[in-house]
Amino acid sequence: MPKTEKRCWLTFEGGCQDEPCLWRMARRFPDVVFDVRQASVGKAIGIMALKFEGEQTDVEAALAYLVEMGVRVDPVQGGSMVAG
Amino acid sequence: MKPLLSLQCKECDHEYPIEPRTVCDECFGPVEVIYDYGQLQDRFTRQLIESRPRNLWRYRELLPVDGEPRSGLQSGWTPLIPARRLAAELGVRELYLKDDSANYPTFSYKDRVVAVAVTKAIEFGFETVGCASTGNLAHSVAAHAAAAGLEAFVMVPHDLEEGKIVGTRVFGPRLVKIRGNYDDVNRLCAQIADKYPWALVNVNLRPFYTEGAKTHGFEIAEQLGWRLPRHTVVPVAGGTILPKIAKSYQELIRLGLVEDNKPVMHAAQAAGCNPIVKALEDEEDLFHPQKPKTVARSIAIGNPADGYYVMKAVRESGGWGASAEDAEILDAVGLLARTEGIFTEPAGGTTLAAAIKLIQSGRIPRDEPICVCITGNGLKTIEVMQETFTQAPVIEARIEAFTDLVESAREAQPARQPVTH
Repeated sequence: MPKTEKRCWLTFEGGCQDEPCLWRMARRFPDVVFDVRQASVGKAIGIMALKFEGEQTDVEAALAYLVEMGVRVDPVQGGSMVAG
Repeated sequence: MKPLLSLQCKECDHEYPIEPRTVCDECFGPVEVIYDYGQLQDRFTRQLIESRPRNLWRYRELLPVDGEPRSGLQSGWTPLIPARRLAAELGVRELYLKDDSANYPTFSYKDRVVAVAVTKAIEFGFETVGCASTGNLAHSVAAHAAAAGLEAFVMVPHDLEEGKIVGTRVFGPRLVKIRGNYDDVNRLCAQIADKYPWALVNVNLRPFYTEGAKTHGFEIAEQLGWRLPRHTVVPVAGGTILPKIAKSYQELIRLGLVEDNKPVMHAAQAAGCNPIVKALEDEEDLFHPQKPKTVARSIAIGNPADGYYVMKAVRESGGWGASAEDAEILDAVGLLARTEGIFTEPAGGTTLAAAIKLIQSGRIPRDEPICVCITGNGLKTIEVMQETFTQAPVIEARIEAFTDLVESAREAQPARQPVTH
């Protein structure tokens, strides 16, 4: 299975900021490694930057599970790029 | 010697060389172009700037390009208008309008950022440029790409005003309508930028693109005789222009080109899309993304990419924010047109309406110099103003009919008196 790495902004609001969404994701997808790079969490909204690594299908399913729990998942836009 | 230009993460300060990069590898924070101001201290002078052609490239030492400008050689140097009639109407002492509705070639402030982004795209070797747009950026990217001989892909919300579609397609780009609002278009463009080797100016060239917005602020200062307005009111959409005008002011202060009068930045948004103003008013650290619903379509961005930095710039300067309802926005478009002869799009109406609220609430004192930033042209969005007028009279082609019309109008409404100073 191909390995993948995804970098995402997660936004927690509308109730899911009070739920242990990441813990639930980690329990369901124990082979997906995630690394918190930045976080800003308030009472009504939380924003986190994370890197996810693992089998492509696992990572995609883990992200879909976060969305299912009400977390907004946005891709981090590009690191360095090559012109063409 | 330290390079003149480099990239620095806005969050963790990690530095990178100049390259097509948007985020920091360490913390995923956005990167920004920084300059070695020490090298510019004695060589970037008022005399040097004033000796150059009147376009945005007269400030090229503070723009992130290596070689000669490749785009926008006629962009910038838009009028800074002392708005005497409007000032009298609002009861303020000194009011200026920085009028990018007259910017070249596509009549919005976007010609500034695109001039820099297209030049940088060519320097990096990209052959295709593109953007996610609410209209004005689409026009500008399409026009600048055509003039530079580059391929262009322009992505817009599916329900964009027809005038903006036609005004873009005429330049020959591939225009794609995306089902959804601007934030959906922007998300898709982030994925496109990862997949295709294209320079999407407000996505993967964002650190360079946004620097072009500083020229709006440089010009305000120079056109005011090398001084800064005490208050600057700026519309907020994706959040590019406000922090960059603030940066331009700070750079001019740092280089000794203007006195530090502690310039104050104020944010303007439509009430139907005001995530930043709401967060400022609620004194929250983070803003909540919104689903936009406003006539000010060109600034209808519910999840502004640089929204956090708008809040930071406003707060650090001691400024505030105000939002305007649709009716107030259209009234302000009319007021600006009637008093100063400037027809702006609803984004400009939003900025003026917000400025009026900030003045009325005392956030902007009436006796301090104010600059209102007009960023787009009303001729692109005439349909929103159409509904504010009754039908124009139709008469027979006879002088008697005309005289009757004029006399009845005089009886109904006395002639307006000109404002004298």
